[in-house]
Amino acid sequence: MSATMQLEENVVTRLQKGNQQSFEEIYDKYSDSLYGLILRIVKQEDLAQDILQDCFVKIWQKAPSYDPSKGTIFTWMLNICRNKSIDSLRKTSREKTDNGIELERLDTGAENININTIGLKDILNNLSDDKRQIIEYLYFKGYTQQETADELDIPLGTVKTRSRGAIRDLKEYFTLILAFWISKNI
Amino acid sequence: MDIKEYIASGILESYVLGSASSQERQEVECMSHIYPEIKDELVLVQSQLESYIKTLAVKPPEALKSKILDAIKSVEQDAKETYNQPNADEKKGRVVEMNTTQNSGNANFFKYGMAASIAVILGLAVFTFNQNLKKGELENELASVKSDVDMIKDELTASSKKYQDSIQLIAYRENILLNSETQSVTLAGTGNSPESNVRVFWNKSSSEIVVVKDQLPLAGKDKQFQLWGLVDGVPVDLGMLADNELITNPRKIDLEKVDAFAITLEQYGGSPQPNLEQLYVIGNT
Repeated sequence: MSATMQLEENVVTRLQKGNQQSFEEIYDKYSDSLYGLILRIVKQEDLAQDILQDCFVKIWQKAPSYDPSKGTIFTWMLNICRNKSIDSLRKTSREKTDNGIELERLDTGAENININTIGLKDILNNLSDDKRQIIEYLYFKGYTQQETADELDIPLGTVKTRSRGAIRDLKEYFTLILAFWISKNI
Repeated sequence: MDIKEYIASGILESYVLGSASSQERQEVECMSHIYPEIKDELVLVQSQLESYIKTLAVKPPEALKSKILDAIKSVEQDAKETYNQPNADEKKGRVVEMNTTQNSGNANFFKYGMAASIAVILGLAVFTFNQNLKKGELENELASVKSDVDMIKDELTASSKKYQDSIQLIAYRENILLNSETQSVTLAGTGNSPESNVRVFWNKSSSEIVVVKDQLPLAGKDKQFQLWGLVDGVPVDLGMLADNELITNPRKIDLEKVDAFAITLEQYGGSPQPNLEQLYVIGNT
């Protein structure tokens, strides 16, 4: 086990025992990513901040039942944040009948990604549109595969292959990001 | 079971993307528990998604942090749920006290009975799952063998038909060549190609001819030999001759009278009029 993982485990163990200091460490380390994710889903800053607060309270509350054998604490927290955001999204979209606005938002969604500072936009664009769309619907909009197939008017099998392909592509995509980052920083 | 196939099915990705059904989720958790390879792949896919999410990071407002830190101060952590991993000292050794009174004996019997039943059901579920996978594999294999056999059958039928056809054709050609009514016309080489020699077998009653190239050079690239019938001094096109065909298949000609047969070298596909400068062989009937 690597040193960082061990360190992380200690932070997590302390968090599980109710240590507020370690909660703050976790906040410092992950709040940017979690907030980014929530913002990506709900697309409103006020709402995203409320959800982030709710999520961190839940993370604190439920920390003792987090089971490291099932995945990293990051994945565990991502799930909490994603579920809460999608719940809230469903609530607001049920209230709102006009889905024209929503579609417009979807189109610009990819551009909102906060990677401009490191200039990675081009690389992100490498992930082909149809695969990005699949991630958008499945992960960020919380659609089921069937709902995604209906919405995009493509066969269910295509949704399955593309969602597989999208994750496979991410693998190459991160190699690119890493290479890019190294070339910029070293 | 075929672990590679399971991984390739994409179920792990749909688990990680949160689009798996609750049944699929349970299955993935169960399978990754049993098979380390599946667990490794699952961790890999999760870490890929984690890295992706990190690129979306946005810093929340500074004020939010203290608000959240305040908020948790008044919130109690939930007690660890019993089905989760026991902590270290609990793990070292926990002695279950046997209770001897009638009542709790029953309760224990019930409890352990339930646990045993669940274990058996789980075991059966995994077993059935494995059996189904094996059955599926065998079915796939059988289907692929069946389709191979069908393919070979088709090939065999096709080639035996081809063989029969060519035997029939040879017999038919032989009929023409040996028929007493068939006239043999010898086409001798011209100055262009003195050594060339071709015979045309012409059966007037069936209006069919067979061309035998006893000696004729190859036409070469973009060129082809063309057969002509001369009828009252007018050349009539009788079709092209392929380089690889030493004896042609019988071909019908629509002529009752032919004064002479001739072969010229023409552009590939033939010409409407013969190029007499490229006359190779000619013979009167």
